Amino acid sequence: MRSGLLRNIILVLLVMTAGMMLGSAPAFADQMITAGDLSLGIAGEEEFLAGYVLVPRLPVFWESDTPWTLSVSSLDPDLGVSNDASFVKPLGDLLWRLSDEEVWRPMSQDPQELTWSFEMGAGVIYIDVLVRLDWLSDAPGIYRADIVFSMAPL
Amino acid sequence: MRRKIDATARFMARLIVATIFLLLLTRSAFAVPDDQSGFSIIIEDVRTLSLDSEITYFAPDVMQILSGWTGEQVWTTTINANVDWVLTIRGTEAFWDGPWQKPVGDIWWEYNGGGFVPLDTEPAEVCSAGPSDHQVHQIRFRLAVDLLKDIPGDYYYGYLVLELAAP
Repeated sequence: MRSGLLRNIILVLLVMTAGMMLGSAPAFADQMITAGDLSLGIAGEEEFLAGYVLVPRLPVFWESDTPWTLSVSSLDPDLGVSNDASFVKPLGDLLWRLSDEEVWRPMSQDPQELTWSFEMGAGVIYIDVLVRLDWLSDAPGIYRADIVFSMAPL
Repeated sequence: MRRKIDATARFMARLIVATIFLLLLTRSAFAVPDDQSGFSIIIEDVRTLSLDSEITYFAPDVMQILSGWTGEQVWTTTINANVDWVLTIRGTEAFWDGPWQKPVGDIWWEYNGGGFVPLDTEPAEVCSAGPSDHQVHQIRFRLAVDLLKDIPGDYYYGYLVLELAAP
């Protein structure tokens, strides 16, 4: 009888220890992330002369009941092929930054941390998105990529 | 002895079930919510042409009139394009305004040492190329003058049209 109790105590301790080893995040973290489409429209003369297309302050809405981190990545290795199939636009021609920051970062297939916070509840962060244009390489075409915003507990 | 083995087996079974349950629980906790956004941009055919001159004056002196030609004037064009292009030139009017109807063909142009040719109201190809980033091209102009026809006065010509288009 006593040994049965001892086994159960050991069992509970083992499960708790395993739980602590697997992570300190609370179970069932309730999180949600919503970002709009990143359609940058049509690049014409004005944009080429500027050398880029810039779309400022795209909202990314978040909800979390635990401290969180938000990352961004691309599912695609590049931005696609020109209409005449002569040019593959590199993924790195798509850059992003938090709207209140100055440094641009190239998009990557590896998740990059956008920001993190201890704040809980719901909110919105804003990002700027920029696509570099080059007269010599950017042949006409529709360039695309699937961008993923991911949220995780801190 | 057998009871002890049974008890240990039960304990191990419980431990495995509990561990699986815990793993499922933590998997839920670490499930990463994400949102997929479609990035897209449409890049069109873009060709731009800029010109450094708006009005060009010729004031031939006696020696030039006797030689039959004015001095030369140069226009500099800067071309940007992300596709192939062709540059053409034409005049808008068949004649000048002035003391007599001096013909458009008295304006001669030359590109890149190709020799002077008379301007026409029909477009003539100046040059062509592929994608270009601030590519500079110079076109030279001179006027044919005729001592017998070109009576003194002020002559004005409408417009010279430089057009950048698809080949």
